Amino acid sequence: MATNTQHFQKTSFLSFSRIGVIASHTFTQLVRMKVFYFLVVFVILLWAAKQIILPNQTGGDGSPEQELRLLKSTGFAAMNMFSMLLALSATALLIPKDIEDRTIYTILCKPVPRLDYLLGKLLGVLVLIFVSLVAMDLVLSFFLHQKASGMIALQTEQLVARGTPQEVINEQLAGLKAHGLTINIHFATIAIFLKAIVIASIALLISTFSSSTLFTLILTLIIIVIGLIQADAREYATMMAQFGEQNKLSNISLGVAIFFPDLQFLSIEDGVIDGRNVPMSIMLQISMVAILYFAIYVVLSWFAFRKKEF
Amino acid sequence: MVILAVLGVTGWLKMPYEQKLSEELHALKLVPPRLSLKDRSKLKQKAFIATYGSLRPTIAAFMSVRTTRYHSDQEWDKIENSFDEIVLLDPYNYYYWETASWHMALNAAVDQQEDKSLSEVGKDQVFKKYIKKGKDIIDRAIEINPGDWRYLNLKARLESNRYRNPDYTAAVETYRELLAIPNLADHIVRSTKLSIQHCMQHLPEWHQKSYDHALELFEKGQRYRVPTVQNEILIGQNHPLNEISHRLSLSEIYGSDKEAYTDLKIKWQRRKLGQKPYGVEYSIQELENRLKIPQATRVFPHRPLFLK
Repeated sequence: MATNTQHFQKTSFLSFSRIGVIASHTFTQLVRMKVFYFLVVFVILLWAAKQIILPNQTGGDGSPEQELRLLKSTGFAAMNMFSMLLALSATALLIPKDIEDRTIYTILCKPVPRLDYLLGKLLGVLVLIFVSLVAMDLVLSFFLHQKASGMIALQTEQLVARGTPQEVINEQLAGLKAHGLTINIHFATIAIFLKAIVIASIALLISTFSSSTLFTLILTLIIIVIGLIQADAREYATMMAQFGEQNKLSNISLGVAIFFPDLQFLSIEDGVIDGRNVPMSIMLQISMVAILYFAIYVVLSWFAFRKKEF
Repeated sequence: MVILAVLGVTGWLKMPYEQKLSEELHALKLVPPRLSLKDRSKLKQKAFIATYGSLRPTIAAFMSVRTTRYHSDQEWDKIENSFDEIVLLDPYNYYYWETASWHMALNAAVDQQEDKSLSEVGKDQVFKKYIKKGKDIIDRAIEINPGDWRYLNLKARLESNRYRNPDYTAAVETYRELLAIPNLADHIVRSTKLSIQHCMQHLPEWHQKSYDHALELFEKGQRYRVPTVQNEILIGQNHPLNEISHRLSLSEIYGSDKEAYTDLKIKWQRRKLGQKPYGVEYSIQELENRLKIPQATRVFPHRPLFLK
């Protein structure tokens, strides 16, 4: 008895091996739900997007770039949708499902701190999203590389045949290459993953005090929508504060800016679709903010969950 | 309560940092531009989708494909409304701005001009109205995409389109604005300067400026010695009101008599376009004599003195 108590007392607050075990169990549990079937849909979707040939209406040189943009846009939209749905639904289901299956009792009656349990569950979901996003990134990169290299070869041939100066050829191809496979594609995937991390943490926080899964889903979805326009509210509140003015709308905007996360800054894939470069400093900054959100929501989830009785 | 308090305090602390980061991202055009309330109401339910990253270009692309149907049905109002939404969804995409202005200023303008139900004055008014719509679209594009030479080039091209109510003075101004953009590629600078030359030649009162500009380009070297510049030097040298610093011979301007003859023949054929071709007729005659061009192929054959 004394040894047991001693052992219990020695239980560390945060154990990575414990978290790892819970995370791998959650990952396996989710994989068994056949979520990876989505990848088949993703491949079909991208293959279809790759086949689209946009009409060159003005006779300009913009069409090849448009086709690459469409391919990237379809890919990122699907990645966004999948990661958001998974982060939202899987996380919202985590605790209720464990309660329903009664696995939560067998876990929490052991010397497993509740923070470890929450982190393990959340990481399981995040690993699943990460693996899926890596797979989707590879598929997108493959299709994009295939389409872009084909277009570059064709354009070079046509421009050389037309006797276009090398300088012009280089510039036109640079435009195409910027829309092809670059490191920025992977940066955009990372940003989508960061967005999923924040969404999953919000869903986890809500699920710790919510009484139903549906409520968690709806409330998280509302927060996501507000989070996507939070930047507008913050800007309005900041502008009004600069002018020294205050009204009902500016107060509401300030409230939104303070209490809700900004999800817009994680939408850098729009810039990547436009063929822009993402500086490393920006990647570091957005990663830092996303991790900060993750830390805040996890700590708050633990706070709400630590004394919850089942 | 504790949760709300923590969210409030951290939210308050992160706000200035987030604002700074957001401004940086907007400056780099990495995130979608902000939509005004007016734009949101214009986009209706699409505004919600537009807030979610990466869906905007997809919707814009499919809307753009749909406009091809409106184009074949000549439904210009529908095209205008569609592109109004498309450019809101994907405002950094040159292709949509170009297509929108092309539809208005080129297709719709001509189509309306052929409307038999309108009077001649009415046709002209509608023609000009659609050209203005095309120009307005490009002006909006320039406002949203400052520093992008392609939009200024598009605007100047429309302003100098001789079939679209041209305003060559405005076109020269726009091309000069384009040249002020830093770090332009060499070939863009070259083609813009040549376009300025082309526009100047359509402004008879700019005879001196046009000649000086041509001379300046000519002195830049072989890459600028194209017929537009060479012909302007010859015409400028022969313009009665121009002040000439130093007169160049035909072979100095064109490289050789043979090349001068080829270029001047074309210029003579197109003499009704642009400025009055001072000195061209005389130069061709001189070259035909010097090169001993057979009478049958001459532009200005000798007329027989006596008819048998």
